[in-house]
Amino acid sequence: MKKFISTLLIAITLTTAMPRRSEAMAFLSFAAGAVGTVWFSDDHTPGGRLGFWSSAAVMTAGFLATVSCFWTGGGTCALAKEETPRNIPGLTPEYLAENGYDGATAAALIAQDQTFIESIRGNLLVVEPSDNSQTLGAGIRTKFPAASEEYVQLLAVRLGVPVAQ
Amino acid sequence: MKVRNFFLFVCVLNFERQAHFYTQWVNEVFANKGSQYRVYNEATPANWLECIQQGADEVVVIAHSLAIKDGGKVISLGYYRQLEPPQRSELLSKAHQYFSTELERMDQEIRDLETSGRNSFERHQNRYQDYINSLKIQRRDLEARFHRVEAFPEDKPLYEISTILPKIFQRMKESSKAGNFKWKKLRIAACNPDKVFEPYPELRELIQSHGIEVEYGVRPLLNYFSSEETAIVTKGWLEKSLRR
Repeated sequence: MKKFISTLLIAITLTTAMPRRSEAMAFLSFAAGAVGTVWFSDDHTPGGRLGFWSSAAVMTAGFLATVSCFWTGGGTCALAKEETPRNIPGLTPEYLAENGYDGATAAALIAQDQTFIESIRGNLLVVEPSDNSQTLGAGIRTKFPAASEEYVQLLAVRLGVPVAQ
Repeated sequence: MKVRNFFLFVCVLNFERQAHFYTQWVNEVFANKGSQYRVYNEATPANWLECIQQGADEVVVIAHSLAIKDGGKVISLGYYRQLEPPQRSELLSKAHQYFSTELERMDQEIRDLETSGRNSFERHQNRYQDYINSLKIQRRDLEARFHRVEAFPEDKPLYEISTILPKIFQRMKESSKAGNFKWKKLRIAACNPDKVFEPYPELRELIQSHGIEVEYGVRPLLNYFSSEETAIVTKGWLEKSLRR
């Protein structure tokens, strides 16, 4: 019983230490299998043997899943992420037209985009995940004070960072 | 008994590329099903607006969700844009230039290390050869990519994945005041389906104010084990738009 409880406690501790749900779930299977294996290890009845080998199978599957989760990063949307470009392409009339902008607004935004790109060249605006709307807005406006509100909003969506509405 | 509504106008906006298997499924499911089903493959946001303006009752969206970086807070909807010939050749030439410059730089670095770096601390630490070997592996990978760019087929399209901009939903909101606004249902398959509305307040408002029903793609069992929520497309899910 003591052996069982200590295995259980170790398993719970390690499971909660897993960085992501995927790893945690896979590791939980491994841990549950391990606990079961320990529980049934001294039971030599036919039922006990069945319990032992089933637990061992769950433990092995859980172990393989844990390794595989760590190996693959656990994400199922990895492809979409991989394909997300590192560089945000400049605005073009076609892209803006496809997104509902009229010609005059599109031309104004493209002009701002070109000025903005020039202004940050060699002095790249770094947007960290921890940046909030204020710092992004402030960052853009410091580097490019003439940016219109529409341009700041548009850039924020393209950069994937929220800007206060 | 459910009566099939023959006048239901369904727009299928497949933002995937032509060669993707989702496109094949979309074509298989909606081919020859009548004019009430309008399919846009390699769709653009403008097609979405067009559907709404023409009185679509149901819109089916297959899109990517884009997070610019892993920790990014906003996950927007994305679509593939086929590059026009000038942009295409510009991109290929940029890639060609980049890879050849990088290859030259690496060759120089390897040469320098092999000649002048022999007595360096790195070598003394027995890491010198390992470092050169790792550079050579990187170089081989780079060279393979360089050759892929060089031999890129003329007829193969090149795409850039772009963010759907909020403007299109502002335009939809304006259109919603017109008489033929009939939008009742949005069926959407994308990764992070619960987050993709965040950068589009106009779309959220539109959904709320008009009581548009939102149905997500199939949430695979894998979601349970994954740190990321996804809503995928299956043929069965697409076929649900046919069963009325």
